[in-house]
Amino acid sequence: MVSFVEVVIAAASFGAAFALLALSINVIYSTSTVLNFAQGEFMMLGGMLGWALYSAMGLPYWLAVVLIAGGMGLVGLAEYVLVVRPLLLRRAADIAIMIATFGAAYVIRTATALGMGRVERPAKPPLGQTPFVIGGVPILPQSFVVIGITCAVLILAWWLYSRTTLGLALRAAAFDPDGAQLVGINVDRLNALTFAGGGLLAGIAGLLISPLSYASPWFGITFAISGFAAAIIGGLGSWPGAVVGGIILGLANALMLRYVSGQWGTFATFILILLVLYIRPTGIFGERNAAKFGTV
Amino acid sequence: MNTAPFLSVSGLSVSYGQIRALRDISLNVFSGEIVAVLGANGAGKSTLMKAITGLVTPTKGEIELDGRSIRRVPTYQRPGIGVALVPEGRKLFAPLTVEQNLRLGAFSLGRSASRRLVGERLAEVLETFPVLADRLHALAGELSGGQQQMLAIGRALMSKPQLLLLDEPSLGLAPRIVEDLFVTLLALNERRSLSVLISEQNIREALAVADRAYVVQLGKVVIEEDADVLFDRSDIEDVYMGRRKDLAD
Repeated sequence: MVSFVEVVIAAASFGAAFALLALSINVIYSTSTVLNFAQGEFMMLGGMLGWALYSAMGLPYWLAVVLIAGGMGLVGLAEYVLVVRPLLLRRAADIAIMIATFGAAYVIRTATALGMGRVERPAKPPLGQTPFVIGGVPILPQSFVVIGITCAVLILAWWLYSRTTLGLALRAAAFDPDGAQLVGINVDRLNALTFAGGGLLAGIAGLLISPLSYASPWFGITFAISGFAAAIIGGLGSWPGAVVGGIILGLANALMLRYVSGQWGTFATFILILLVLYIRPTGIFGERNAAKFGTV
Repeated sequence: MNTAPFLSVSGLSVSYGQIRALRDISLNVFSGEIVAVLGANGAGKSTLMKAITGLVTPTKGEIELDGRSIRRVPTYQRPGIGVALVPEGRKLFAPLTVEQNLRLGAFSLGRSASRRLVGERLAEVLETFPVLADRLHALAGELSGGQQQMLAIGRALMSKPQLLLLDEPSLGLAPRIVEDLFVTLLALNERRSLSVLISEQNIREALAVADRAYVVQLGKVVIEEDADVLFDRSDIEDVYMGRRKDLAD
């Protein structure tokens, strides 16, 4: 029983990080309708920068967080300006833009491997390795950090999207970009903002998860698969969906890892996606409920 | 009436790939005027509205507002200089509430706009469309067709435009609601000296409120006439339906 609870908590930590990544995918997708496959690499890069700044260079953790948030925001913005925007302006097909983001992902992956080394790096957790023992169950402090920060980000995102004029504008642009421009919303600038936000969130997700696994330039693809799986299971564009999708995915992954074997984790992920889409093609919170929850 | 037009479109052409949607169109709207653009489906009315608001880029020609070219002004800056469009199909933000839709209508006023100013605009719009006041917290997507059209017009009025463009506002509405809509437009035009450019298939209704009208066929203006003269022309339906091909050539 104790080991099951342990697995569930591990699942919740991974789930929270995937939820954060799914949220970052949704932030970009719901305003610009671009599926950005570089998000997994953003997460990878966040983890690598976390290792470099905090574990290797020994900067204070808060400073590492600030630098990664800002730096990854700029990386997201750079992807928009250099890769996505020129295609949007030429009214390229969605699929062309998606393929271009694969290219951006490849560039980020290769540049990271060349610049920071091709090996796995052990990332130091900010609160140490000594587990808290609650009710006989040992819990890594990093689990609290991941879950806590994800909850904080979700509350912040909810506030931004439902209580501010910027949030209203983002939702309006998501629903009808032409209508949004007609009332005076600069949709291009909002798109740029969502790419910066998407880079920031994915970078933080990477920073948070790296002490629970490793940091490696090769993890981006796995992250991308997990993040998109979480977003799709939950319903693309829905943020309650991103959370639920992330947690389901984390659970499935952790249970398979614990009770079957590591290789089955990815297999289980895909079986899960297929099952959910078979029953609900729009994902758990997709489309039909989007209006009720607000599309983010 | 001023001698210089408030909106002046001259020699405007728009192409979608091989298709020439507008061919050398010229028209004027003078301050305080209601001008109707009449034509069948595919005549180019919506393309004209989109060109005036910058949603499509003209291949040729000039669009001037109050004597200044607005061709290079991006769409999102046009409500700020006094042009608001009620688009075909309304383009409301369906998942947002009526109030949120209206407040977004004032987005172009910028962050400097005080709550009081937006509140005043909101009160004015709700006075024009009292039905909306009862449904402020309903989602725009839940409204009836007539209410949605009121909301679309209300949203456009929130930026306090000098020129209101309406693209087929009567589409899909019951005749009585259309009548109310046109009465409201007349009142707005008189009370606020709002200039109006309206595209319609519903020719008799549009001619009844308009000062002047342009008939568009296959992307070209074929008739430009005072509305009451056109109203009395017996062959107007033929022209509008494109049955009189001679005019298009």
